Amino acid sequence: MASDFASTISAVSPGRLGLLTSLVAMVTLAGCGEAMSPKFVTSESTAKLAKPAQRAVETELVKDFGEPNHSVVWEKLPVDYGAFEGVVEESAKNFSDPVKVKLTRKADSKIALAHDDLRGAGLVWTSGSNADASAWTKGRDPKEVPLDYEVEHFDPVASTLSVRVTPAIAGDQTKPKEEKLDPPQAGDKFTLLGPMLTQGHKLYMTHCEHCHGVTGDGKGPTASYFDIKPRDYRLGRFKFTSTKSNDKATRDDLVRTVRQGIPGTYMPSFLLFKDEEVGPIVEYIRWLAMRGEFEEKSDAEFVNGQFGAEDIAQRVKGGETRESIETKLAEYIANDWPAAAEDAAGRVASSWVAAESPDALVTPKIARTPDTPESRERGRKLFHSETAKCSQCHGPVGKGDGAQTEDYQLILGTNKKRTVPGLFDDWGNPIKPRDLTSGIYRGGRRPLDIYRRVYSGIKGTPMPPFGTALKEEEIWDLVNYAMSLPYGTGSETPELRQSKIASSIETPPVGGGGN
Amino acid sequence: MRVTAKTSLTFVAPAAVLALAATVAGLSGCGGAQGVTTGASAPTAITIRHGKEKGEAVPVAAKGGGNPAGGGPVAAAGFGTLKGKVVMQGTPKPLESLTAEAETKAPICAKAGIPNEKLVLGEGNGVANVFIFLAKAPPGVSVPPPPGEPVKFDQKDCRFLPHALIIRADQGLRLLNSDGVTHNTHIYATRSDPFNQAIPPHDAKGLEYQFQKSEAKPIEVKCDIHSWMRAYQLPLDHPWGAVTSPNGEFEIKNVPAGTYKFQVWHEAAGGGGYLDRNLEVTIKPNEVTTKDIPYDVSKLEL
Repeated sequence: MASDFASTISAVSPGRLGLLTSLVAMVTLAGCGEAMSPKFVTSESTAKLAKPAQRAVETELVKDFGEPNHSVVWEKLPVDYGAFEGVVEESAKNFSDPVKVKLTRKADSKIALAHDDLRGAGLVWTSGSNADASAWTKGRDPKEVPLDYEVEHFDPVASTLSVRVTPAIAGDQTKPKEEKLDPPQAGDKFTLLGPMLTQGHKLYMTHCEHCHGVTGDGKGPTASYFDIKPRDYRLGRFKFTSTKSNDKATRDDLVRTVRQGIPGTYMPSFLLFKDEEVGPIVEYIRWLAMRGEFEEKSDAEFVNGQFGAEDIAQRVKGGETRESIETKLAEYIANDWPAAAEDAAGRVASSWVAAESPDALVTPKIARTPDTPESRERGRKLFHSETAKCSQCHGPVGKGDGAQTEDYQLILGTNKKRTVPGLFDDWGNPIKPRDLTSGIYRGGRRPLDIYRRVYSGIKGTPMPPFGTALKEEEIWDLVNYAMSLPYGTGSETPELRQSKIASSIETPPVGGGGN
Repeated sequence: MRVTAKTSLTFVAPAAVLALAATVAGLSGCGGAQGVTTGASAPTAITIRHGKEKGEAVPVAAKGGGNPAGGGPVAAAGFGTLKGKVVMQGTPKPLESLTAEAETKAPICAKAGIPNEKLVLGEGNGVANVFIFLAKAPPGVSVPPPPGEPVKFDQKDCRFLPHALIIRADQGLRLLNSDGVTHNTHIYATRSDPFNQAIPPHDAKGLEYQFQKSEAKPIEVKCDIHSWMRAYQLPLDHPWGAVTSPNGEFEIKNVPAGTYKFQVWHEAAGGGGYLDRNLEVTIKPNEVTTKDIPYDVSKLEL
């Protein structure tokens, strides 16, 4: 009976995710007052678009990424969604029968088999009578064919799996024969897609969401209590990376940040996580970052067509009629937007692919210059030079109190100056240049980490990338100088200081003595 | 926002219809056995969206928005020239030079003096650095390829040169530095990925950057080290745009005949910088159309 009801619903509005969601949310609320399902939040820049444009972006996002509890594995994106391969060991009579399977990790997937929960993973048959149906779904609009099967229960000890098929596929007798599915038979092979995402989601919601937010916008419930704001992933920009200035973060960069935390901030170290936990978390964060970036790029497309709400108000003032603009917008959404969205997603995807290439990595070609007084002195001179000009922000002795911190900066995109002095990052948060005397290094304390900070700058902040302006040995000198600052010696090593003290003792006082 | 137990009740998606059924069934009992739900282990589901193969993508419809006012494709029935002058109406308040600001921060920069380029008036009250351009290429017109040579963008006396620049999106932009100090060229593109790179002193070879996409209006370029430095760049995917000269004059050659709505943009204008979004101009074959653009002082936002 329940299943009849479900079929009816799905027949009425197949694919109307939003409608269904709200319907169920309503029912749920009315019923028992249960917690609502988490939802992705529309970004501030999307909210500034004209309403139809806003809806187009939101619809596209749901199609391409789904919602937190029902993610979409979009093959276009360079995300390791995780994949297991399975073989059915005993035939099943009905779809709901538990199926005994043998599960192995797919060769090109990094996910560990240790996960005890594969519920929700997308299942694609690769052999057997159902494989044809899987093939049939390939390339189809996911709204028409939401998924082939879904894993309802996985028992890791017995390696048994319960799978469910959507009545929309199994029960629809009007479909051609090849579109009907049979219960799994022994020897049938399948691929389970998305376990990385479901695992990542689960761990993210437990450990990360309360600061970084469901959407990864850095607006979790705890965030408002922090003076240093949690990272908002939606620009696709991460501060501490091993890559060049215009490249994204690598997986390894994010793994390191999760493991080490960010010293001097509220970001804790999650060193106790197992590899098979960090992997899915990082993959989920990358996926959230791509989602946010795709949203931002989508908004830029509509802004480019002058379909921002403010744009339209001005265009009306300039003599265009609201109707003609609305017609143009509707035409744009119908004719141009699908390709523009694909193109935007393609650009997002390729930049994340590029970040993982060896070309993107900042690797010094020469070893670190020995940390001698001479090297530190060269570094100190560079620090104040017109070539590096570090003192402009980091201050004359590296306390992070340079002239720029007292200046009123221009607000980007306007002719106005800020009302408070100091520097700001790309997320609009006030930011202080690092106090280099504190000995706290947010992006890691290895000399290589400091080297990379100087070489690539700190992404999303006013710290510029000097890799093209300084020689490698100059950067190492700066690293040696910067890393000596916490010890209060400036360019003085203990040896140098000792020799100064010694020479001052040996030198007879000027004009002293005499009979 | 925390996902708590029994989130299976809200386990929704068109695909997960059975789950929906479970939801509905579960409701009658209000929190009956809903399978496994502990803490944040919210039930999740996956939908597979197969990536479209290349070439399978929906082709961009040839008709762009906006131009020519008449609609329909324009047969390239000859080409004409648009020229004119942007003239300030009224007397704007004089802007303070940025030299004093530079002096306190980087005295070496202040030697040549730093003019405030937000509003540059020339002979006959002409306004320099105003962008006049078509938002999109006219439909049906073949767009000539960009010049092979990259556009040069220099940093001299702690100013960006030129201050205002139109470039083809698929043309290279060569970033140079004639100064004895390092500058970082920070390009705040919105459709293309933003770019930020330091250019060393006296770098005559420089670096090359290329936009990925055109922009709707000029974007900002900044130097984080010398924070007064600003420039504006407009990447277009066609050649029909110009920046006014120091005297406020502009000329756009080889415009296909037709009626267009030009965009007029200046950094000091309020309301996002647009002086006019619908400057209607008719271009006739082999003729020069002159269109002077008045810039009322009340439009300034300084």
